[in-house]
Amino acid sequence: MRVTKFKNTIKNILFMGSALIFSQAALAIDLQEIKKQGVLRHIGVPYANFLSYIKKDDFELLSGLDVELVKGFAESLGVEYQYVPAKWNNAIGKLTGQHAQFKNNQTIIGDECVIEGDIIANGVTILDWRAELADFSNDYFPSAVWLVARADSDLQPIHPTNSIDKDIKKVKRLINGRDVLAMEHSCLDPNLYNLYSTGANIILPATERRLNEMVPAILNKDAESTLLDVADTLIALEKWPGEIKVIGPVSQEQRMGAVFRKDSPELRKAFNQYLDDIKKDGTYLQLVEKHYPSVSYFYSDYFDNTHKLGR
Amino acid sequence: MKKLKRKLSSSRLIIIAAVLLAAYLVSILAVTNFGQTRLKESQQRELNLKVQSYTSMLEYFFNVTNDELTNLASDKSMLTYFANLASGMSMQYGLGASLFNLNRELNRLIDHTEISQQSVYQRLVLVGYDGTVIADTAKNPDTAFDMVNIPHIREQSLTMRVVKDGKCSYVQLVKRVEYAGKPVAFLVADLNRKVIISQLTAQEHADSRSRMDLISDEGDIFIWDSLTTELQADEPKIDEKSALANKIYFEIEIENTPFKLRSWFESVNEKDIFTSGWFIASLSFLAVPVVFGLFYTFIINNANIILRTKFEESHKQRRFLSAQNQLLIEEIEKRKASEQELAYQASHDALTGLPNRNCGNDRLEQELVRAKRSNTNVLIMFIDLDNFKQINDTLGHSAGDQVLMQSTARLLDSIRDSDVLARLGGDEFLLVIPELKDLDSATYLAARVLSLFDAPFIWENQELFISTSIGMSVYPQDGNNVQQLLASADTAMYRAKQNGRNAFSFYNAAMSADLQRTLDLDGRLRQALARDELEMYYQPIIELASNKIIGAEALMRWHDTEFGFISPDEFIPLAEKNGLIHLLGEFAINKACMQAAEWQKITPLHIAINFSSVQFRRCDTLFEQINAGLIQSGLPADKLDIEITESLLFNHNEEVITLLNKLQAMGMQLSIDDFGTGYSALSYLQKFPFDKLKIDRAFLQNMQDSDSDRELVNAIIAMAKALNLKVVAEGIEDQWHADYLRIMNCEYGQGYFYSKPVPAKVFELLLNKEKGLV
Repeated sequence: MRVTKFKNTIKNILFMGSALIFSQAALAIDLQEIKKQGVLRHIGVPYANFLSYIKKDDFELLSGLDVELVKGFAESLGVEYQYVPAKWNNAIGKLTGQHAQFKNNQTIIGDECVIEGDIIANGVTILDWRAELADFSNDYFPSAVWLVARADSDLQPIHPTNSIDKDIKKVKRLINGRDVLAMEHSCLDPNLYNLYSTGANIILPATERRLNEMVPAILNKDAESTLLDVADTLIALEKWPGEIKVIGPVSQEQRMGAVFRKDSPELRKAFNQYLDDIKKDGTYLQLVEKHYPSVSYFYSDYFDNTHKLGR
Repeated sequence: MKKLKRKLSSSRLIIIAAVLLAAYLVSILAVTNFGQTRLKESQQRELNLKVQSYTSMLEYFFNVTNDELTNLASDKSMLTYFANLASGMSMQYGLGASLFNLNRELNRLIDHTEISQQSVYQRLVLVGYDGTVIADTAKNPDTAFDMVNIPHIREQSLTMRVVKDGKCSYVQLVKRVEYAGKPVAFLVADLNRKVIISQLTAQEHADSRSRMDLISDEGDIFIWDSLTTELQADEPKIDEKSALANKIYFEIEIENTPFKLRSWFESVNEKDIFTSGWFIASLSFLAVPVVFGLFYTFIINNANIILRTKFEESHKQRRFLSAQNQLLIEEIEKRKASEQELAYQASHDALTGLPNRNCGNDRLEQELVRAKRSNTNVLIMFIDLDNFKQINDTLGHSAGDQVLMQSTARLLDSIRDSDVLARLGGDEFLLVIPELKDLDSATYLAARVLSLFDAPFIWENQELFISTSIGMSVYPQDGNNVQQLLASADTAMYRAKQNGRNAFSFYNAAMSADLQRTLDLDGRLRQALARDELEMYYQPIIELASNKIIGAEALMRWHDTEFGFISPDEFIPLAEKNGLIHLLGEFAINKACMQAAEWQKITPLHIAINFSSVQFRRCDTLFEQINAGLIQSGLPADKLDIEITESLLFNHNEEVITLLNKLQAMGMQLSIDDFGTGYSALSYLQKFPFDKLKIDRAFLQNMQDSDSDRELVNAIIAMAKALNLKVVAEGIEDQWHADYLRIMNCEYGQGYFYSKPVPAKVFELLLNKEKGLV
């Protein structure tokens, strides 16, 4: 009931918002305009515990770390929060009004499109190609990409060497000739980590998949192993204990941040300020612990920078 | 029903109540005793239950703890860790996160498992099968867990043991953790001792007097002691053990654990509980007011019974009384009537209806009071019927009554309303006339009363002539009270009688003098008799035919030294009144008989002695005196003449006749004296055996001049002759008398013509002279 009402509200706002955009296409939509319009549009792709969006018939559920983050931000601005569902391949377009893809290690600019939102926040890894298209906020979550294999795989986890580079090399050596599941446009894009050069048999999903469908895919024996970001891995380890195993790292340590149009620096600035505030008062840590309890341990160094972890 | 009720309501009810009370008290004591025994048993049971509840609680506690540890051992985080570990994952890549989760779960168990706001677990340690510590909730994990290596722990899924850490002992649970069917680690849980203690002491308090220990083979845990010493003592000391000897002791195993709960409790009779002797004492004390109450009720009931009985009685009596009351009212009416009648009778004469003496006196009193007030005179009139006694005696009482009634009627007709007429008794009437003007009117009134009796009274066709004598006194001159006035009137009345009756007399002071003389004479006469001052005189009795002394009449003479010569007419009646007549008579008999006996030497002389009728009231005494006189003097009985008067004949009785016959039979002669002066009834002459008849001198005095008197004497003599009586004439004073009587064949005579009464010596001279001896 509440959801239905919410949906109707969104529809109305969408309609009004669209009308505004079309009439004032030339105008940049920054903090002032958003405050004026009284709504902050959150573009999100469902991903791990950062954002979870389920919509089926009348049922609609929106949750996750980034949802609460953006909702809090909107509240701090004194504007309405609005969610704009998106996919990895159209999220940038919905933000900037210009579709763009990263293929074969280069950015391909696509068609123009309607700007539907003001901020992308769903555990977006700060990647160079993305930074060319839009601005990232200060990072607020660490990440990395690991290779995860089925438990019955003969791939053996590497013994850490205290050197991330050596560990990556060890992993890349291991996957030579192995089936590795990956996904373009996301942080699991094999191009990002030069996996094609490892001799691994990169398998891209035949159909469009979500990142949290990667582990079920290998359990379904679509592949022997898969790339998976740390956050998702930790969740999967708890979700399917004894069924998967982490072999080792594929990427360097990464950071995640919110994405803004390049012409909305005030909004980004305001977001950064908001981030600083909630990191300071401990609200942010509570959010992280709520959505990623084990990550806080795993990246204790990262989070210790802003506050003290521990009980 | 009523009977039953009475039975029940009586003191039996009280007795029943007392018995019930006693039974009640006994039963209460019995019940109390029984209750104490039961209480001990129940305390035993209760304590047993309590201890069992403790043990079951502890058992449950350990079960729950075991479950919790089992859950933790099979928790996903545990499985994940060991799965990841088994998969060879490195701590850096993935396993660390699993360990973190595991740690978090351990801590959560500690944080979230609380009983009474106390953590159940003090510490949780996950120890690998090889003995390495995987996870430890302790901040400073410095405790070694080498004990895990003890073989029997490895064999069991759960091991419970007591670990001694310095002074404190605590329970440690070791849970074996398995992964993929193989033991991979041990979960070591240190239980919070306080939780166990609080579990076991939930129902204990400082006053509960109990002690508990949790014991096992590996050591004991002290739980609680409020019995011997202060809390927190770990081990019972030796002297405490002896102190625990008499306590109620339980040792109960806690199932599914190696522990036993050892407990001691204070036994019931050592506690201050209300079933103690104090309770019984207070209960008995409670009976005291009840007993008092019962006693009081008993008293009240008794009083009640008395009261009720009284009430019923009074009710009965009231009904009876109301019945009686009616009778009483009737009776009262009757009484009132009769009282009025009695009062009337008391104050009035039954025969005449006149006020009686008392009433008359009262009325007189009233009149005197009135007269005193009005300063007037009152005339008191004493009216006495003359010779009423003779009428009564001769004609009977009915004649007397008739006379009285008719007299009353005549008097009442003649007096005023203000006058008072009363009957004083017998033939005496009192007439009170107030407001007397003067003595003349009194005289007039008295004459009128006398005249009322002029007309004869009629009784049974007979005419009775009755006169009255009236004595009068006047208030205030003759006395100022009733007694004086009545006495004065009485005196006056006697004077009137003395004056010849059918007359009235006023009281005067001289009458009082007469009275005084009478009183004085009374005394003098007694003295004279005692001093032998009385003297016998003798008057010769002459045989008229021969003119010779044939006898003498003995006459008593009294010459008083103070009053001089006193006539027999004065002192004989006095002696008759005061009873001296008997002594005088005896004196006369003795003297006369002695004298006569002496004179027998000279001539055979008859001696005549006068006897008063009063002397005949004691016939026996008189006979003795006469007989004694004759015997002592030796005088022959035929020489003694007994002279009696007519008055004796009126009052005669059989005794008198017998005596007279007896004396005559002895030879004595009987003479009737003073014949003709009284009511001479000729029938008496026939009835009594008289020998002589003496004609009173009154007949002789006028005989010479009066034909009628002369005829009377003739008649008397003729009658005496006819009755064969000798005649003695008295009062012969001259020759004529002597001659006439001699002619008339009168045998004897006496009088001054021959000789007056003379003393014995003079009489003796007369005798001797006649014999010619002198």
